[in-house]
Amino acid sequence: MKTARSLNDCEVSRRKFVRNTVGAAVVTLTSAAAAQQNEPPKPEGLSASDWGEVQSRWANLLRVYGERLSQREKKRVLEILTTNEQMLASIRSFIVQNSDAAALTFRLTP
Amino acid sequence: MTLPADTYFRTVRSLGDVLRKRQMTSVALTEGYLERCRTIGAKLNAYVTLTPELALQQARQADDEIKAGRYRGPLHGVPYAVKDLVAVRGYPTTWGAVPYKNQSFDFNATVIERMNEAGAVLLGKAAMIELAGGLGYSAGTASLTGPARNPWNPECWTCGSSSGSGAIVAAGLAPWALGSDTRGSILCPSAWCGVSGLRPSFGRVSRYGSMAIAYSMDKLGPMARSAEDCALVLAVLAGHDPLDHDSIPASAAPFAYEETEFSVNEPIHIGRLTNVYDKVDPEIETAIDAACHVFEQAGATVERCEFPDGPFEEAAELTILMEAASYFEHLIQSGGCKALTDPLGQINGYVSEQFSATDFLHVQRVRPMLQRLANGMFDRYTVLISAAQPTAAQLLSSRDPEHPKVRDFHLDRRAPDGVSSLCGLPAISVPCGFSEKRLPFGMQIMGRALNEAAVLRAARLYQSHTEWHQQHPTI
Repeated sequence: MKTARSLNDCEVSRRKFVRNTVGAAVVTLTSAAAAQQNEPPKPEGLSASDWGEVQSRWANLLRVYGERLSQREKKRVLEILTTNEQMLASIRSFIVQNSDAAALTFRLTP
Repeated sequence: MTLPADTYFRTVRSLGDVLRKRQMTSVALTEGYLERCRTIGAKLNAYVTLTPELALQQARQADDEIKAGRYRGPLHGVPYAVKDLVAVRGYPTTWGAVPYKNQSFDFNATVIERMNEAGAVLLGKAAMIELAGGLGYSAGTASLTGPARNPWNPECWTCGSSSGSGAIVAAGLAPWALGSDTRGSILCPSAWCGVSGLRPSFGRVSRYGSMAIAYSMDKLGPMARSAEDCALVLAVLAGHDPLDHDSIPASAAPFAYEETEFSVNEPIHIGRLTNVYDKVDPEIETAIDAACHVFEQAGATVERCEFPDGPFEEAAELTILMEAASYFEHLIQSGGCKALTDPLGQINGYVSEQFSATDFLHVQRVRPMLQRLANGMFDRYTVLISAAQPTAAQLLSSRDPEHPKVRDFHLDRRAPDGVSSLCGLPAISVPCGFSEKRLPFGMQIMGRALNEAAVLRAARLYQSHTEWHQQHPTI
């Protein structure tokens, strides 16, 4: 269960995040075939559920755009998805309340 | 008429004065700049398209009007360049990208109309990183026109995405150029090219008619030879535009050039940020320390401080990735992104399409919290200063897009520009020294939202006591 936290007692520092990201973003795949057929290993620092989301998104991406991508590109998009998930995890660690509005505005134009 | 070589490195203020006094004609000045653009500009890959017909027409009109006593202001007859994501009627607007190399628009962007009203002279469309980096890029070669080369050392990059604009001002190919900045694209090239570049507050300058990559973060701003020049140009560019959805209302704090003039009766309290980069070139830290001393000698107070922790960089990067996936939806879904130069740009859009709506909204709901954190710093400080970039300009050859280490390029930590971009804050990069290899350093000065005046006041104070901004490469 995630604990609500405010930005005043944030433990995730930008410096720590980047160090972890640089280390975790290297996804080693044993072969090009493994990229498609075998399940790639979960990178360090990513939770099981977050890794599941990465894999789900990768599967969807390949379903839609797989024919356009080379084997190298398929591997590369997995790396990018993993990096994006790391950033999302950092954002999600800040629980938003019902009253927290988005930085989006809808303006009336009379 | 051949003008002295140092003419092309004069400020907007200086050139405007000599034109007003008719000590020089705009036509002569424009012809001189155009010749430099054709020769030097070509070697630096600084321009995509020159606009000589329009430029000379505008220059002749300026000379006639000035002669007739119809003076429009400090930009009258003064040449400039504009980043090639801004629409100019009758000329290509390529967005720096192969898929759009033949694109043109049949209207002028608002900023162009304002420049026309001011009597300015458009020399051409400045080169840029493809799509201003909207789909990501990993090297300076990510451009329709090849890498823009740094006038201080052509083997080095200018930085981006306003790569051509940086080269143009540094090399004396125009007195100033308009750039854009979503996350550092004015500030970084300004630092690496040794010029003064201002990224105004979000909504201060109309974006109507310019390419969008992240509409909640895109800004347009001037790059010039001095902070005073940036203030002069901003005074013309700024102002409400109903055609830009996020344009600051006319009732909000207007920008006034006079408020950028420093005064001994208005003390400046400066926070010197100490935690914005993991690692900064020691020469740059020394230069920033020296700048602090200059400020103190000039009567400002300087205090070391830390920026509060928070997921600023993650929020900035995610916002850009998510919004760009929408703004370039057609390019991605059609597969046209394959024609982009950079291998990252060719595929990144596919990845960004996998974000969900709740992902996007969560980022945008955390964003106001981060804004409040950033704003809180300005309860104590007038402005915050730091190194604009952790290093000086890098060699073009040091960034091979296929190298594994380069693959994390989109995670590079440009912290102060990322923070200020996310929170819509104004910031300027001004030259503050040189490396042993004679490459310029930049200092970033950041202010509270809508307080460009304080940022420019601090920058002008600094430049009144230093000469870094007056130096230029020998070209």
